[in-house]
Amino acid sequence: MVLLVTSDNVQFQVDKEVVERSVLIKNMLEDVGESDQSIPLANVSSSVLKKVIEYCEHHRGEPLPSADADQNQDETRKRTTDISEWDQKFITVDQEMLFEIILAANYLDIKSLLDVGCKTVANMIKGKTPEEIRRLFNIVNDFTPEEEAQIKKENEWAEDR
Amino acid sequence: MEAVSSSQASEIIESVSSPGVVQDSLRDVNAKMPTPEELSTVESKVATARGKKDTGDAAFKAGDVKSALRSYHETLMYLIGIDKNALKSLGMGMPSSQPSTSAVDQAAGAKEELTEADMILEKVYANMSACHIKQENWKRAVDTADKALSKNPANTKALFRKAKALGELGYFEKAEAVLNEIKKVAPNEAPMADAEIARQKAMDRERQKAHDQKMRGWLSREKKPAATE
Repeated sequence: MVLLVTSDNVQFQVDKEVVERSVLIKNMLEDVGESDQSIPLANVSSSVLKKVIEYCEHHRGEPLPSADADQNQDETRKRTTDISEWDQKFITVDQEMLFEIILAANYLDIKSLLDVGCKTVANMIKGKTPEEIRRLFNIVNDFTPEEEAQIKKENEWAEDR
Repeated sequence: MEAVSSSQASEIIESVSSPGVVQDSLRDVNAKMPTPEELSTVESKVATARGKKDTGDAAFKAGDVKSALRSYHETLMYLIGIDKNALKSLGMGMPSSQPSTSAVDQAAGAKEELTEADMILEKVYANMSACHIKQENWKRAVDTADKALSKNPANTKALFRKAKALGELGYFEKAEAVLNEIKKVAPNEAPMADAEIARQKAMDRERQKAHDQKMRGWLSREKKPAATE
């Protein structure tokens, strides 16, 4: 069992096998061995870590992508936006939580979870107009009308017709 | 010596910047505005990280490599994924000047936005690499040296450590390329780099000799003279 402490000072007891899906933590455990001392996760809050652990529990035992993974395999992994059914259900959360999960996956270095989060955002963007995307992410349009016209013209070729 | 002490003073002022100063520098941040609470947590995280790094350095000096690694790992836990926007508005965007070789200065000039967090991370990774070398964990030594180099490609200590670890792993050609890189970024380190190349060449020759002997043993029935190179 490994003891984790979140940014809001909540403690989590987690199986070594589960927590080692985080490469950040795995490296540490490999370098210094297990001990009673807790691991301070200064940049994850308890509500987010709970979700992340749920994910790691479900995927425990699956092979980790190796550091020097096959380049081709990496390409296909990046190009598909498919998400498995369980992951899909897992990632159905409000936008705030979705972004927190992505940040945590990046911090803890959990590649597969980072993929799920980013693919979800990609799917949210897919097929939407710029105006819809702005509304979705609260982005203020700071283009001048001239700039906007210019960009539209440059990207005309990509429009669906 | 006066210049040094005044730069130390400015570092202290920076790290305890008053809320007023923080508010002021907030104005030119147009990205997501960090709240004062966020700023103070980021500030205290950097301070904690600095403390952990010092603890690690002390442990390393005392020869306690494992404790050093633990402290360094904890430093990472505080600094990786830290809010960059908040760091910048805290005036931690550019680290205060400090003694460094010319190569490091050049690299710092070349890279646009190095935060104090990045500076600490670079040193911690380079030191972790030294720990792994002490433990003869060559692969992790290469990994961590690479992490330091991703923050600053001209970190000569990290380059040396990477080269040594690569050599020990038997990647002599890769090691030599790294050592040649050192000569480029830090000409004054060239003699050291050449010495390491020579040491590794000798090591490589020894290895080759042992290998040849083995082969000769296998091929001895054919009574072939060893290929002269």
